Amino acid sequence: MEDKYNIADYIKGRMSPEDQAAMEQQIQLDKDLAADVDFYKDLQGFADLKNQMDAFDADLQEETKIVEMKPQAKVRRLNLRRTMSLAASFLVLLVAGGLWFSNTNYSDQALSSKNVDRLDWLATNDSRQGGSENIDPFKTGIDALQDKDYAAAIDFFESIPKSDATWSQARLQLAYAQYQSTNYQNAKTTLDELIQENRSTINRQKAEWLKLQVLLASGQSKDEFEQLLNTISTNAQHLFQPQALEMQQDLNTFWRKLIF
Amino acid sequence: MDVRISQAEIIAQIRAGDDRTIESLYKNTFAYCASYVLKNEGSREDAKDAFQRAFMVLVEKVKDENFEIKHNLKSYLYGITRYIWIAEIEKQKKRRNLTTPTQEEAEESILFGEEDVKELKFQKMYKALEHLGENCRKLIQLTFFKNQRDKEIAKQMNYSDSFVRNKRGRCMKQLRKMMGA
Repeated sequence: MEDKYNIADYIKGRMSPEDQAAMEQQIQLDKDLAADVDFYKDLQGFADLKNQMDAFDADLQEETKIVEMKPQAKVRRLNLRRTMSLAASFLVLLVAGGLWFSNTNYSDQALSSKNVDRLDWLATNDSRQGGSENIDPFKTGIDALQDKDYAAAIDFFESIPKSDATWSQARLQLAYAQYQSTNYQNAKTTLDELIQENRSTINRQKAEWLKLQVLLASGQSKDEFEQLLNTISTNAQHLFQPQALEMQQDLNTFWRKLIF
Repeated sequence: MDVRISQAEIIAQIRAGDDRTIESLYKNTFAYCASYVLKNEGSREDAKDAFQRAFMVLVEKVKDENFEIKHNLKSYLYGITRYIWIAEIEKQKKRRNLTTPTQEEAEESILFGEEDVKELKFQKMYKALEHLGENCRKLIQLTFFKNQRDKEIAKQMNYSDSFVRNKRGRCMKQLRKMMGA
């Protein structure tokens, strides 16, 4: 096996059109060369997959990065009065801090918002599976979402007809715009319709997860919320099962129980 | 919900090379599969290697139109990760005095059909690359993993442009021989 034909450049599409045509002709005539080209392609496929997995792993490590704890300060001997006064101040701060922390991080709205913010397929230009990077019929709506002009985004995504192949993706973006403008009832209706249509499992599961966040933020339909959370968290095939399990933990956390 | 249809759809998406599905599957199954390695004397790096090899098995198997999965994808990946880690422990136990996997674990692995894993192209490639000489490994890494052009490779490795091509040809021949291809 010799790389006299520069197979590496050929499989990477780096040849001029003339050289590529000559190479393809040669591959037809030379079985050994054809086998070599296949082997180069296999190795490139292997390398691409490995690079892709390493990038996923880097994301995971970033997400679970452990913050090193600072060394504890030295303990000093304190007199009783000072100790009592410090303890009282600490208790007041602890209660106030706990209430603030719980409200900021574990209220229904905070949990819902945290889960929605993580959804990288919302309000982004590549939100459509298999979509072209160059031609994006969602551009107007996505730009409106990114500008937080939710009324314009709702108008745009509502205009995509049901017969359109991108209808499901448009409905997800529409529900997101309705959610962001706190119109939870409309967001729920939009998602219920998408779930009912069930055009693809992935979009249905995305709609179910988004609906769960809508129900949580709205503070209504507690039974429906519990039922949907249970459905997602117990389904090993659901795209959002890990997030649902994490959400159950968040809902049962000490900080939440402290005030909610 | 029909679990089988859902799984078939995920497999179809992987087969079509849908990056989002591949990413979602990787990220949602890693922790579960890695837990076996971590509980059995492996480091996080060991867990990553074993899981990535298992993931490669799935991606390669899925390309075969006749591939039928008897378990859900998460269990399948867990089974393969476990099989790969058991094989690794077997290999290292003399060197590092590790615990030998139980007979039951070894038998369970076979139930998942991993016995043919070693024959898969990517697994052979993984092993062969580990044993390739340093210069060849570097040349292949720069060409295929870093996607560098020959001029850049020549500069980095202190070779002439033409030598890069000749050397790569020889390295590829060696790699193919090591894989028994």
